[in-house]
Amino acid sequence: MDSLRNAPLDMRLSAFIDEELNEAERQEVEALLIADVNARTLRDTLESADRLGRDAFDAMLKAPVSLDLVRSIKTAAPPRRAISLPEPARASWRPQPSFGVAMVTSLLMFGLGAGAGYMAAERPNMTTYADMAGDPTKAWLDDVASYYRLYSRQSRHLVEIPANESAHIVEWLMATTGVSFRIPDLSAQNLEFMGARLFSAGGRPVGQLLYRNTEGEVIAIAFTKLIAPQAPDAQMRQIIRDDIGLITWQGLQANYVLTGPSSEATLDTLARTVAGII
Amino acid sequence: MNEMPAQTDIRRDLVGLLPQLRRFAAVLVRDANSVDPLVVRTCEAAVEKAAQPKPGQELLPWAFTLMRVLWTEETRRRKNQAERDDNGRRAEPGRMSLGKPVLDALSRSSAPVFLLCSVEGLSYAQAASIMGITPDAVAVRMLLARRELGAEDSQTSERRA
Repeated sequence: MDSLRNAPLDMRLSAFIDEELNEAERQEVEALLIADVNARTLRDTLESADRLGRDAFDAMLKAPVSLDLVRSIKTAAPPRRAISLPEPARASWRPQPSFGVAMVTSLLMFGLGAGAGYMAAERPNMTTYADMAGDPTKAWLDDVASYYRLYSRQSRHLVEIPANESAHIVEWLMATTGVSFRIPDLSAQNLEFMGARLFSAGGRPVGQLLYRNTEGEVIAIAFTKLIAPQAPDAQMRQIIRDDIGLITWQGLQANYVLTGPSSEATLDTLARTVAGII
Repeated sequence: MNEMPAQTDIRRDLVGLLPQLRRFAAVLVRDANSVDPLVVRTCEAAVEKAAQPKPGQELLPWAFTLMRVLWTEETRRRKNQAERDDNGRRAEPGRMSLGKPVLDALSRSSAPVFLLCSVEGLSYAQAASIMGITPDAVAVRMLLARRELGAEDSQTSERRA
């Protein structure tokens, strides 16, 4: 800031109150305040105005912050980072069919297309069993969310088997779900293991490990035998169902979902930790 | 004051700063309905940009800067839109209430500077950086704010007498 030596007195006093004068200017103003009663009066007036404004602004901090605002910030999506996975080198073979092969292939494709069209026209409203059953992954997530909503409000009956019977929990849930697992120790994340439950979700047996954080909120890890056998998909997906957040991923032998309050900002980090242990 | 946190923590830290962010937003927008949307946009931008922190940078002044820049852009956009809509005949928004007569006495230019320096305790240089003005302009606006508050104080005393 430029020197305020030639500035009006009230501006110098204002900067003096804010401790923004350099040493020489500060000493000059202090000497003036000792000698000049008008300068002291002016400083007192400015300081009084300052207090008035500060008090009013301090009162604004007491205004309540809406839960929706907190939730929208805690669940703000971090920037996506592109990850390029190494791909096997592709063969550089390029088909060069003869005229005869091209004709035969064209006729074959025409026949297949016509057949499919005939089938569709004959039975336009055909419903498959798969259609009737719906998306199995969605069904099990719906049920997991419903059970979480029900059980997370329980205090005395949160779990079926308490945490002190860990060995029995592992044996029992492995036998009923067919998924081998370890109980993750999440004490470093301030989560206390409370115990486990068994329930049915999407028509499948589901094991659930329940934890409680220091704020009393319940975090649950549910798992079931692989729903749709396919290549392991380690990519995690976050789903928000009102006040519940679900992080899902798929392992070699099971589908997993970590469930907690949607306002909990670290669910994704926690899920990555769990995926590395369980 | 908090230094810039790691990526995973910034959302939680921003939630802890919400009262101060909402107060600064109120001073900028002066419209109760626009406060929370501006805070949300600021926090989303902060989460988006949190991967490139400058070492030692404090979170609150950084978030204030983001908010001021967002608000300036939005004000410019609205002004351009208004000029396109009706050839610039629409008046600029005047003073809107901050909910307290004392604070309503502050002008749009002096209120955010007073908040940053006198209430948040930032230096003129920091406030200048946040507001995109010079430290000299901050000194002038601080004096203006104190004059406006002093005048309001005098009027209140006269009304009581």
